[in-house]
This record gives sequence, structure tokens and C-alpha cells, in this order.
Amino acid sequence: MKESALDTNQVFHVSSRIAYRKIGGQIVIVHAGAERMITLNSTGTVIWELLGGKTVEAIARNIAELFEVDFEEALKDTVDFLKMMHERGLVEMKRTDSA
Amino acid sequence: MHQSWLIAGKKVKVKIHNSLFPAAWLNLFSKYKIDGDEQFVADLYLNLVPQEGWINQKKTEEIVFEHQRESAIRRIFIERRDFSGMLEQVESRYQGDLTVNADSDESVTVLVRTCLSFLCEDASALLLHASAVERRGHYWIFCGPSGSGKTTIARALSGGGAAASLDRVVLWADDAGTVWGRSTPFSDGYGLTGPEHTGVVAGILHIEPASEIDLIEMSAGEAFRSLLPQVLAFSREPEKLAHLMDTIGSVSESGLNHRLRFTKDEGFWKEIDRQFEEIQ
Repeated sequence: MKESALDTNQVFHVSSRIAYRKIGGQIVIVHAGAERMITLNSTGTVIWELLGGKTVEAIARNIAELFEVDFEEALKDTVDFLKMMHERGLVEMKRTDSA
Repeated sequence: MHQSWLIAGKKVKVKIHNSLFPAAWLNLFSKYKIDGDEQFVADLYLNLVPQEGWINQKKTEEIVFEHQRESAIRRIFIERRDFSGMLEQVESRYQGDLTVNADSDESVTVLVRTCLSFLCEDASALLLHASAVERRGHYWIFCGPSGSGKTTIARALSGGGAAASLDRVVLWADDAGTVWGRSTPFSDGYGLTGPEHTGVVAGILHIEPASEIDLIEMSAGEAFRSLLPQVLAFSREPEKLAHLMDTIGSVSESGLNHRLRFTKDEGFWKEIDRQFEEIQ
């Protein structure tokens, strides 16, 4: 898909420059440098909690299963979300050797 | 301990005794004098009375505020020393633009406020942009962005209970989950605050101006998102920031947070009492 220019075999992890806490079922993130608060919705919270080891594709499969949506739709949402988080410096990319 | 530093081109003397847990603040005395046209001298005395079990008597802290004119970087160092004077650790606690107006007393205010926020941070307490009213031995906290009416409401309600603090409140949760509040030296235009200004918090009311009084319980998430922007000078170090977020989380989950839509009139406390009876 056009929107998925991002390598779906990539693994993202939470940036070391942020602090976050799950409260009331939602993740609240504060960037240590920017003094900015970001609250994730339920889908964002699930994706956030899946970060750290799973590839983008694996996360999308989890999302598709959990929210009962098509894989393509879940992949697009996951990619969009991670791109946005990456642009804001909230997640960092970690390349995996295995595809 | 009495040293001088240059802050924004002005000479500032800082003297701090036993700067420890904010709940132990007994007194703050600050005086300023302009010495000639250029020298600005501020003597700050933080006289603290330790509360049993709260502090480590073996250490004292010295706070150094350093201004680098060329880079405009301001740093605050906290030197921890033991009683023999051996330097244990020098720790930079702040780097960045502190936005100080060199032509006003603000530099001193910012210095002390920032130091106090570090002390609060160390003690897992929040230095909150909020006002407080003491009523029937309990603290009622009013918070909200500037202009929301927290100072106005604290002043207006001082007939029904002493206005304990107009602009700055320290909050912390103890191990049992009880939330405590305390006024700060900046509560009332540098007014002295006494040890009686510490109390159990009965409610944290997040102000929303409205035409009718209403009190709505907030979820922990709502409370967290409302409290966090009102925390003054939170840390830029992720680890400390995470700790601070834990503290905000504990206060948010206390069940004390309510959204207060209010209009100022005589029936205010009556309405508050009625609403809380319904809730509890």
C-alpha cells in the first residue's frame, strides 16, 4: 500500500527520552524535552503496549484480531500511528535481521 | 552556607539551611535589597523543621544556581554533603532556558521555585499551580489554568475557611494512599507560612467557569490529564519524569478529583456539601 512506505518488518521501541504511564486504561506520554503530553486512544494504547519486540506486521495482526478488522486496514492504521509517533520522537526504530 | 552567584547579571546571595522535605517547611524568609544600580542581593532563608522519620539527618544540601551569560544556559547544582563537609555528589538538576527577566525580582523567584520543585521531586511531591482553602481541618484544592478563577475562589471562600494558599500548593500521597496538601512560600506573595498549613486533602476541584454550580466526579485519566499541565517545572530527565508521573497517578487515582463548574455566590459551600453527601 502507498501509505505503507515503512518497512513492516521493522521493530519500534519506546524512546528513552519519554516517560509514560497507563491511567484509566489509556497511555499518557510526556516527552522529557518538549514538556508535551499525548494521550493515546484505545487502539493506540494497544499498539503502544505491543512495542519493543514485535514487527509492525505482527502488531497489525494482533490489532486485526483484537478489533476484528481486516489485516490491510489494521496494517494501515498501525503504520500511520507509528509514523506519527516516530515523527514526534516518541518511538525509535530498530532494524531486525530476520524478515 | 552563604554564597553569591551571578544570575542574569545580578549578584544573588543564597543561604539555605537544611533544605529537605517540603512538609517540614516551617518558615521562609526572603528579603531583597538593591545595592547600587547593578548589584541585586537576595538573601533567602529556608528554615526547616525536620519531621521525625522523614529525612536523613546525615546529609545537607547546597543549591547553586549558575548563569552562563554567553550560552544563556542556567544550571542548578545540588551538592550533597555529609556533616564532615566531604563532597559526595554534585548533580546538575536543570539545564535550559529558565526564562528569567533580568530586570525584575523574577530571577530570584524562579531560582527558589525551581529549587523547591526539585526538593518536591526528590520527595515524590507535586508542586502544583493551584490554590487551597482549609475548611474543617481539611484542604480543598482548586486547580486550573491561569485565569480559571482558582485565586478568586480561594479569596472568596476565605470567610468559610482560611485561604491556605493562593497560587502554589504541594501535594503528595503517603503509603496509605492519603493525599496531603501544603502551602508553599510562594502561596501568598512571599507571605510566611506556618506548620499548621499542612492538611489532609478532602477534594481536588478542577475549575470550569459556568453559570450554575455543578460537581462532577472525574475519572483517574481525566484527573491525570488535568493535573499534569498544572505541575510546575517538571523534570526533563525521563527517569525523574516517570517518577513524577507515578506521583500524579497516585493523586489522580485517589478519588478526590472532581470537575467543579461554579458560579460565585453565597450558596457555594452549601452546594458543595450537598453534592459530596450524594457522592459519599
